[in-house]
Amino acid sequence: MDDLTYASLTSIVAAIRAGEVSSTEVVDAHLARIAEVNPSLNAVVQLCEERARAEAKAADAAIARGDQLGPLHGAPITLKDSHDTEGVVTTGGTLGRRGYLPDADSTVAARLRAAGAILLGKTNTPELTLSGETDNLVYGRANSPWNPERTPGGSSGGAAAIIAAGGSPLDMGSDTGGSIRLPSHFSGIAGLKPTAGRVPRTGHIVPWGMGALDAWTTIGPMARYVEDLALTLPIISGPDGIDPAIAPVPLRDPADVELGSLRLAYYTEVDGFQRPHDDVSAAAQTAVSALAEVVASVEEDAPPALSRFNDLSRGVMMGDGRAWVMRMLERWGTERMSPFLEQGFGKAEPVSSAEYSETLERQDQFRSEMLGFIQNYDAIVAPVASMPAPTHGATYAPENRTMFYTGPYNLAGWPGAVVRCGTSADGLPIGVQVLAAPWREDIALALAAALESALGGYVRPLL
Amino acid sequence: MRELLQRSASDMARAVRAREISAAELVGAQLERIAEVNPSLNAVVELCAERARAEADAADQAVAQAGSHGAALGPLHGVPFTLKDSHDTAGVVSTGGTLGRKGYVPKADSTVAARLRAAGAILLGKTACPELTQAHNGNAMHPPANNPYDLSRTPGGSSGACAAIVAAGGSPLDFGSDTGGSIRGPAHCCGIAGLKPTSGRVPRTGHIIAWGMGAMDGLTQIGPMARYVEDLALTLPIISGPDGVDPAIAPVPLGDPVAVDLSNLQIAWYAEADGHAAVDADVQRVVRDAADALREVTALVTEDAPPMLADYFDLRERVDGADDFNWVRRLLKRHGTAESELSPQLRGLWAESHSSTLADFTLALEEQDRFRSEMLGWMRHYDAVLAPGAVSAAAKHDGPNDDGGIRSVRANYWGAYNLAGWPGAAVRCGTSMEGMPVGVQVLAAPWREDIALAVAEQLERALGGWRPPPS
Repeated sequence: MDDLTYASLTSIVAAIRAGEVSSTEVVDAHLARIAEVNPSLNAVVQLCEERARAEAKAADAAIARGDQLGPLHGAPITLKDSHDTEGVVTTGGTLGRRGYLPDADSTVAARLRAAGAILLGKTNTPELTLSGETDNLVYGRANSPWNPERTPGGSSGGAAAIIAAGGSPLDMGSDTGGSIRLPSHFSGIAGLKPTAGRVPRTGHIVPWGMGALDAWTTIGPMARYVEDLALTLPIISGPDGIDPAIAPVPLRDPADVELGSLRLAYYTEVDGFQRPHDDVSAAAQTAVSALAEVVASVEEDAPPALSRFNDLSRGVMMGDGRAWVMRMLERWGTERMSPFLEQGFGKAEPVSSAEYSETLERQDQFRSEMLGFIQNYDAIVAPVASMPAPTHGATYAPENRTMFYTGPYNLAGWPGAVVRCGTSADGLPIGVQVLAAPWREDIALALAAALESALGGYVRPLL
Repeated sequence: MRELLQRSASDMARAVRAREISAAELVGAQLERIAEVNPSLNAVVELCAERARAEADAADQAVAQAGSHGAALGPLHGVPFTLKDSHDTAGVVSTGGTLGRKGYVPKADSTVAARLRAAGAILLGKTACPELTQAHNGNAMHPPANNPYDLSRTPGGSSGACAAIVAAGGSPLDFGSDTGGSIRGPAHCCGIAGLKPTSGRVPRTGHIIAWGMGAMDGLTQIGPMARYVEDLALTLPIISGPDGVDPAIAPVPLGDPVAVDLSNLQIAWYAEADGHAAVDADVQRVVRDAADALREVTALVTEDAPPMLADYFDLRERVDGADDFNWVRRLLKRHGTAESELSPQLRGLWAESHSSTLADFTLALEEQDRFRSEMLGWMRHYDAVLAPGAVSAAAKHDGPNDDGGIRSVRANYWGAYNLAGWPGAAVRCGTSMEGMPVGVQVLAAPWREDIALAVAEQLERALGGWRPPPS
C-alpha cells in the first residue's frame, strides 16, 4: 500500500490481515500525518500515542501468532471527544470536564476496540456537541482542511477534518440535528446517521436518557469511503443492556439491495428553509441524474411535514427554557457556558406544560406523517445544508442555521448517509444526503455507494 | 359449558381447516353462548351477528374450495373473536367508552382489527371498556361488567369485559390494551391468559389510546387475551410489526416460544414488592406455587425483585399529571366529549391532577429513561420474572381495591413493566380460598415474548390454567 493515510479502512484492515503492512506501520503513518496537519486544523485534541503504538505492536504479535482477529484488527481510528474513552481525557467540549479521565470506554468505543481498532486520539467537538460549528472553551476552534478561514461545521467537525486530511480513516460522530451529516458534507467525506434506536449512547456526552429529546441523538461512522460505513455499522449496533432505547432489529447488507427496484424522491429546496446555493442545488441535481440511470424511478417530491420542523424543534428544544441543557452543564460541573452554546440555546421562558405535552404528541404525529410519505418511496435524496463550508461564525446567524435540511430526519428517526457529489465554484466539497425509512441503513448505504462510484466521492484537500 | 366452547382458538382454526366443524357452527354456537351469559356479564356491548354469520358462510365456502390442504387459508380462518370497544371496527359502533363517540361507526378497522380479519378471523362484537380505557370498569353508556366466577365481583379493568366473555366461553379470543395493567389484571381476575407485548411491537393505529401520546406513548400496548397460552402465541405474530403509520413500532423478529429451552432459564420471583401495597395470602401462595412448579424444569428459581420497582408510582404521577391532564382534555376534545360528560370512573383521575414546572416535567422524562435502563441492568441476571397477578383475587364491586390498583394506589403490580416497556403474560396458576381464579404475571426482557409465553405455558401445563366458571 503506497498511500496508507488515504486508503479506506476496509483496505487497511485487509492489508494488515494479509501481512502486506503491519499495524505498527499504519499507526505510525497516521500519527505522523496528524502531527503534520493538526497544527492548522486543531482537529485532534488529545493523542494517546504511546498506548496506540503498544496496541499496534500487540496487534502485530497477534497476527504473528495466528490469533483470531476482530474485523478491525490493528486499524487506527480517532473518536470524537464526546465519547468516554478509558484512560484518555474526554471533555465533551465542556469546561467542567477539562482533564476528565473516564474509568470506562463508551459502548461504541469499547465495541470498536474489542473489534481490534486502535484509538489514536480524540477529535474536537463544540460544547456538549450542541452547536453547528466546532469551537469550545477547552480546546478552541477547528478549521476546515479545505480552507482555514472556514469551519468544518459541527458538531463532529474535528472528526470530519482529520479524516478528510488523511489523519484517520474512521471516526464516530454523533448527530442530534445534523452533526454527522453537516461536517461530512463540509469536508467532503462520507458519514452515516443510523436509525434512532440502532446504536447505544452509553458513555456519550449526550447519552441515552434525554427524555423528550432522547431519539434525536444517534452515533454513527464517518470515513472517506462508503464501504467503511458499511463495515463498521454492524460493529457498533445493537442493545448493550444499558441504553433502553436500542432495539435488536437485524441489519441488512447493503450489497443485497437491488438498486433497479428502488423508487426515489428528491428535493433541492423546502418551503420555509433557506434556499440552497446554486452550487448545492446543482450537486443534488447531478446526484439525482446519476441515480436515475440505475434506479426504478425518480420523482421530485418532499415530505409535506418538513415545513413543520422549525416550530417543532423550537418547541421541544427550547420548550423547557433550556432546562435540559442547564442540567447537563450542572451534571459536569460547568459554570461557564461557551458563547457558542449560548448562541444556540439562549435564555428562554418555558412554555406551559399543556403546550409542551402537546408538542410531544405533535412530534409523534410528524413521525407518522413522514412514515406515510416514505411508503411511496424507498429513499430521498436531498441537500445536506444550504451552503458549502461557511466562514467561521457564519452559521450563528439565524438565517444561516444549518440544521434545517438535516434535523427533520433526527426528529423522524430515519437513517441518512452523506457522500460527496460535487464541488462549489470556489472549490469546496458538496455532499448530498440519502435518507431511508427507519431501519433501512442498507438502502441509504447502497445508494450512497452508487453515488460515490458514479461521481467520485472523496477528493483529497490540498493541505 | 359445551365442549366446543371450551376449545382453544388454535384448535378451532385447525378443526375448521380440517372440515371437522364449520365456521357457521362455531359462530352460531358463540353467538348463542353470548346471548346466554351476557345479560349477567354486561361484557358484549355491540354485536355484528348478521355480518358474522355471512362471513362464516363465506369462510366455509373458501374451505370447500381450498381443498384438502387449505394452504391459502389464513391462520385464523373461520375463528370467531370479540374486540375491546377501544378498537375502531369498520361498520361496527366503536365508542372507546366515551360519550362523544356514542353511536360512532368507523369507516376503517384499526390495524389490529384489520390484521385479524385478514387472517380469517370473524368478529362477533365489541366488549365494553371504561372511558378511554383509562378507568377501571363501566362508563357513562355501559354498566360495569361482572366477573363470570362471581357476579358480585369485578372482572378487572380496563379489559375486564374481554376477560369476562372469554372466560365464560362467549369468545375464544379478544384483544385488550394495557397502559398500566389493563390486560394482565383482568386476565388474573377472570382466570384466563393474556399478553402485554413489548413496547414497539403492535401498532396502535385506530385504537382509542393510539400512537401519538407523546410523553406516555410507550406505555400502551395491544395484546391478545384467551383461555389458553397457545392462542396468545398463535395470534401475536398476526398483529405484530410496523404498519407504516404508528411511528413507534420496530421490526424486531419474534422468537418462537416452542424454541425456548426452559432448562436454561434463570427465573426471579417475588410475592410482594417494596413500595407496593401488601399482597394477600391467596396470591402470595399462588406465586410460590408457580415458582415451585418452575423449579423442576428451569435452571434457577430465586426470590428477587427489581429494586427500582417502587419508583414507578412517583414517576408515573409526575408525568401523568405534569400537564394538568391536558393530554386527557385533548383526547376528550378529539372525540367530541364535553368535560361535563366525563364518566364518573374517569373523573376520579382528575383529583390526582397537579401541575409542575416544565423543567420538572422534562426532568421526569429523563428519569423515566433512567428507570428503563436500571430495569434492563437488573434483568441481565434473569430470563424471566414471576410476579403477583394483583394484590388479591377479583374484589367485590365497589369494595376496597375494586379498581384493582389501576391508578396511583400502590396496589398496581403491573405498571412498572409498562414504563419499562417489557412484555408480560398473565396465566391462572391457582384459586383463592373463596374460589376465585388467581393468576401470575410472567415478565421478560424487551422483545422476549417467546420466553414469557414459554414460561406461561409451562405454568399452565403444571397448574391447570383456565377452568370453566360455574354455570
